[in-house]
Amino acid sequence: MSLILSDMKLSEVILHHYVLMPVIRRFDIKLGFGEKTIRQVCEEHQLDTELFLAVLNLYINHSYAIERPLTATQVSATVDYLKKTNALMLQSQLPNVERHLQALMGNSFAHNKTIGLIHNFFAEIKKELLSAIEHDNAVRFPYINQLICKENTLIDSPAETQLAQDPMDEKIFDLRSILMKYLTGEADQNLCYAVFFALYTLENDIRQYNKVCDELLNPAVAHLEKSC
Amino acid sequence: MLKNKNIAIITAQHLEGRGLRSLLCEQFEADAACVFATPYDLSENESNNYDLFFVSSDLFILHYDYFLPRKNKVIVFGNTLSSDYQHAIQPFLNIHATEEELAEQINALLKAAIHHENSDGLTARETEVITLVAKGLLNKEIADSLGISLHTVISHRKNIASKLGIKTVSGFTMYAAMNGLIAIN
Repeated sequence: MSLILSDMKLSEVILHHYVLMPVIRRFDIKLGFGEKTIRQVCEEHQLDTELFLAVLNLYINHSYAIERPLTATQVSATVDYLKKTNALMLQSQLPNVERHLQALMGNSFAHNKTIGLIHNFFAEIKKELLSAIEHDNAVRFPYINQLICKENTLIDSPAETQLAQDPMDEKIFDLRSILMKYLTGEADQNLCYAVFFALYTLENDIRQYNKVCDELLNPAVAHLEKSC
Repeated sequence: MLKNKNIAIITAQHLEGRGLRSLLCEQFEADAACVFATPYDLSENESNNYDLFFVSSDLFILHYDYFLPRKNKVIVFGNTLSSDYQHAIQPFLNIHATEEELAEQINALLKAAIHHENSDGLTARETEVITLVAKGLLNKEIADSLGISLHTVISHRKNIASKLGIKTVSGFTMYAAMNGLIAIN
């Protein structure tokens, strides 16, 4: 499917790209939008159509170039979207993976060390993810808000969190591929699938989150910093 | 089946080694099999030239570090399945058997070994590198400890990544733990 445009029916777009379900959830769009086009849905929910389209298109790997940097209002909306993404990760996605992993451990023999290893690896990823979210909420987003309100005379730009560590989405990718290739011993296949898909969703969301930051938010923040 | 393959039989019991060699020679055409008392009788160069190692279970445990990087090429033999290395999932030859049973066992092990080698296709050197990465060493430290250049380490790591489809250090560590290259703790 080509680029998603504002006169397309939202329902058709979502049916075609079911991966967009979590995106509309984060924009607080509830199901039941009938035959409305994307523009109509956005107007109804007081969403910025341009930003909405940019996020949707990024998510399905189309580069949807916004000619100019995001406006201050759009930046603020993007931050809201990212906050919501973080909140949902904490509320549902991480617990989801954990629930499946716990069940998998419980259903397998105690001596199945490989499942224990998968659990440990995930615990490491989770810790890293939590601290990244904490940094976003405590440092980065407040800083951007102050930039928007032009109150930044006193604060310095927070240091980038990108450490020498491997990117989290790549770690989850590795975890998935190891789970698939090297799992030994007795394991409940049904639960393995559940863990695999829960990890896949998480990995994809982290990747999309980073993309929104790299392609939409960061250039806009840089622009705001310059204009201050 | 083993014609022209370099085979090292490593055991402290010389008679045992001689016996295994003649069996391999007669039944599997392993005309190039040699017997050693310890792995240190083989130089580094020679070690890498061997296609297959038959190692007695006591020496396998004693020289675990030596055999780990070559674990795809190692068949352990002994009287009983010692619980000490059961976790290592190493191919095992029970020598408390008749000649026919022995031949059958070796046949099955060889087939499995060939299959195993193809499954991830890491060379002995790459296995050494991934083991050290998993232990948390930096590229520079790996280069020093293996006596190779930094550039070579990086190219090994690239090859490992493309063979295994794993990119992150955590991923390498986990691969090593799951495949018995490092101890699980």
